[in-house]
Amino acid sequence: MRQFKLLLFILAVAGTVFTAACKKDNLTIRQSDVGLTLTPPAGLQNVRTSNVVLVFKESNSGVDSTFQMNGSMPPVIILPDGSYEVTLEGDVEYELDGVKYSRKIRGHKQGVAVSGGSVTLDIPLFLYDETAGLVFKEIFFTGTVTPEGKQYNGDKYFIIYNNSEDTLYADGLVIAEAAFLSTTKRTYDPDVMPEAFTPGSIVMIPGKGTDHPIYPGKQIVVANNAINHKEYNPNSFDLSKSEFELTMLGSINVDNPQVPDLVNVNGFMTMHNRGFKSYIMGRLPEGTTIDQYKETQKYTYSYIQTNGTPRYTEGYKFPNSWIIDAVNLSVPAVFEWILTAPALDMGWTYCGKVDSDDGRYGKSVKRAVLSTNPDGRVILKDTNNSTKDFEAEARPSLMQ
Amino acid sequence: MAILGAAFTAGAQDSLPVRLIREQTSPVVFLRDEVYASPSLKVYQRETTWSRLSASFRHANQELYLQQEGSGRQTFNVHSETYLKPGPKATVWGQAYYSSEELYKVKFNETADYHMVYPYLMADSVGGDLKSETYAFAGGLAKAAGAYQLGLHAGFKGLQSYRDRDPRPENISSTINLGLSASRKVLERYALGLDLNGVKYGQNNKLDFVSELGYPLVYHEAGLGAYNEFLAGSRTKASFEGLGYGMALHFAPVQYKGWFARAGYNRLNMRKRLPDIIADISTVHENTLNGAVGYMLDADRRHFIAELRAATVKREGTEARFINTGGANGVQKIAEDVRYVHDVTTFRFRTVYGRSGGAIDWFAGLEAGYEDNAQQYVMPNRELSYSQVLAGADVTVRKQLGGIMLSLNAKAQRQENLESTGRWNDVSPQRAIFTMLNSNFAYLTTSGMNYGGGLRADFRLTGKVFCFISADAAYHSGIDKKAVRVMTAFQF
Repeated sequence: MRQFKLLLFILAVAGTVFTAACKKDNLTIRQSDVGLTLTPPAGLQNVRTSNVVLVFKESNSGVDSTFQMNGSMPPVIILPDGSYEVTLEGDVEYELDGVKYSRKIRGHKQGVAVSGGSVTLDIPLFLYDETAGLVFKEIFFTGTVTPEGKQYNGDKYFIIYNNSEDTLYADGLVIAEAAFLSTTKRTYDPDVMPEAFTPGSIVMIPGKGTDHPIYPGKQIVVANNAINHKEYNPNSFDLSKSEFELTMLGSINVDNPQVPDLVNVNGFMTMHNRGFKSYIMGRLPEGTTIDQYKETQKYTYSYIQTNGTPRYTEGYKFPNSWIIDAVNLSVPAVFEWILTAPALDMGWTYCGKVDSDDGRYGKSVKRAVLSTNPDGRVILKDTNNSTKDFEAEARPSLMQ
Repeated sequence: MAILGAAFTAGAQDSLPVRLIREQTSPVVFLRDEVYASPSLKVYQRETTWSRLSASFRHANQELYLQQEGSGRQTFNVHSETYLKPGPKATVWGQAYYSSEELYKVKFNETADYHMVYPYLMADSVGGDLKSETYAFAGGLAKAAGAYQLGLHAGFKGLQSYRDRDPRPENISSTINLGLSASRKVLERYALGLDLNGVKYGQNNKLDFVSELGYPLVYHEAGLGAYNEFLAGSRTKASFEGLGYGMALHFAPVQYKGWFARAGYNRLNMRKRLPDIIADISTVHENTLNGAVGYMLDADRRHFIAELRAATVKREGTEARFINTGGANGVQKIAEDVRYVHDVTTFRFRTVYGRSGGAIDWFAGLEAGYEDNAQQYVMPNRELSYSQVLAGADVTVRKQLGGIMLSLNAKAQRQENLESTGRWNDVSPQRAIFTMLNSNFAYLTTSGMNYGGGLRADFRLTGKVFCFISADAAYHSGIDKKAVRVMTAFQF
């Protein structure tokens, strides 16, 4: 009898604990209130925003939360704790020198920490112009693969398109690749991004000003090596009819004497084949020589390395006001930040979803078509948001 | 076969260690062993002592399977084991083994020891066959001190797993166990024991690629196919550190006659880290409660045992959220939440009755079970839950034919799914993760019949060395699993 009582006691204790443990929980996660203020561009009067849509993308989960503003009143925003990229688009009416304007307005902020119960967030707004002249129509930066499975790099190219109704000239057009990486976010000092792009390699189309017209709806191809690459790689294409070619590093440069070379303003442009860099197109102010540019726009920037010591680098600024078009590139799995001011390009596009994606070869980023005029001229989409303007992982237009 | 043939013709003078074989082939003893698994109760576990060196080969393949564990496995194992009572007051036991294994079609898992570290695996959608080698040593000692038995148990297991083509994981893990136990005789015919145990776990998880063209997305799974996009990409190194502890209370008869019961609690804390990130990216906290109650009777030629056991396991996964500050500190933790929970509750009843000493020894067993299993992930909200029942019967017969003792067993079970829910609406059907979740769901919730059978032949090899050869086969109709095992062992 005594052993039976002892047994019952053990069972009673175990049963009580067991019953308590079987109770299931509902999962809840911490959230924080987000207080929002919008700062209109300086100098505008009587600013009234409308149709404003805010998108908060949480970087860890990839989940988007969308809010619509009712008039100028910020919405009530409660978000799960996390790290957010905020984009804003809407309409704005404002007065300047007594004249009323209606335009599109945008805002963009990366790396917004939402945690601790409540945060306040200020988003600077900027105006953007939907009309533009020359644009990057296509950037083919991935290269191709040979039948033997080897990388083939000489067949990369840019296509520059005249998206306006005027004849424009390629003479003096500058193409520059970012010095920074969109996959490695750093706090650079000074932070010049709001007013300038920091290029690594810079090239310029030669000409006296009107030597190389681009008619409305027409394009030029700027090839790495303007040769028939099919002779060396059946998976590549013929670039021998390109309008221009780069002057590459001696070891990888194949010159076609029939095709004019671009002038190397700074370094040699090789085009990052995983798409970690961004590209801009612009012009130096009239009368500015390359030497004057390099002399006036040289600066030293630094960042703190992981070992805590600063690293100093000399580079150049390319002021945002000189830039005609910009395209941010990255890779979805390793994207960390865009390398231009959001006013130039608030999005980014890609080839390859992961770093070193073996499916990226033979693909390009291609600007989407907005409309076609009655005269047959194609208007390309140019909203200064490469995420929306470009078709990622597209079939290159020069591939047969 | 030649050895077997010679054994058949051997005379009765080549006497077999009948008591040992009876213990080793009795389904009553299989169940009873767990009652005396505590180090301080080991002295009561077996009546006979033995030492064994064995080698076994297993092969299993199945149509439905958990993708993270693969579609089957082939294992070669060399095992040595001993259970001795060197003096009237001491019991010692130990085992050591080496196994070489190949898992087939492992996907969405490039980490070793799935059950230890899940759901925080390093993963990709490519995977492939995975090889591994395991070395393990364990042993213990129990000693009588007055009315007490004091026991100590310690063990080590080392594992490395790898693949010779992309993606190439190279994982090394180690598990160290330590247990202390004390029991005291109570009520003349019973012993009451208390165990304290601990476990330390570590794994270095590394993935490599040699293809110059590139590689797939490598990500860090967080449960039900969810993963942190911030950490996905090319972070191909991770480490796990785990620490567990527990206690158990045992009540058992000292002479195989009477009631028995046990209750235990275990806690496991596991953390996962990535290089260059100071904070843990995720932690696991698992609480296990288990208990059992039963009755056993071993008298004359009758053998009986019945046991009802229950267990509940709650595994909580806490996941950190990060922000890239862009400064020297780079990636920093800004929040953490419990986002994954896995609750498992099981009840199982088993009883075996047998008779020995007649023309033939026989045992008949009945089994019934219930399992409630639920996994949840929050933000995005996903769920995989099911409950199932199991009922089965088995029979074992044993007969000495000349110098050979033959044991034959067969079983049949029905596993029936009662209800199931699979919810991952946010996952695009075009994604491989969607296919994985559906495949795992089908595996976990399929009903079917399980059949199994085995044959073991014990005979004397030479002098005091005895040998047995055994073969087992099983088939699970629901998941179309076929498994075979052959084993040979030398006992002395």
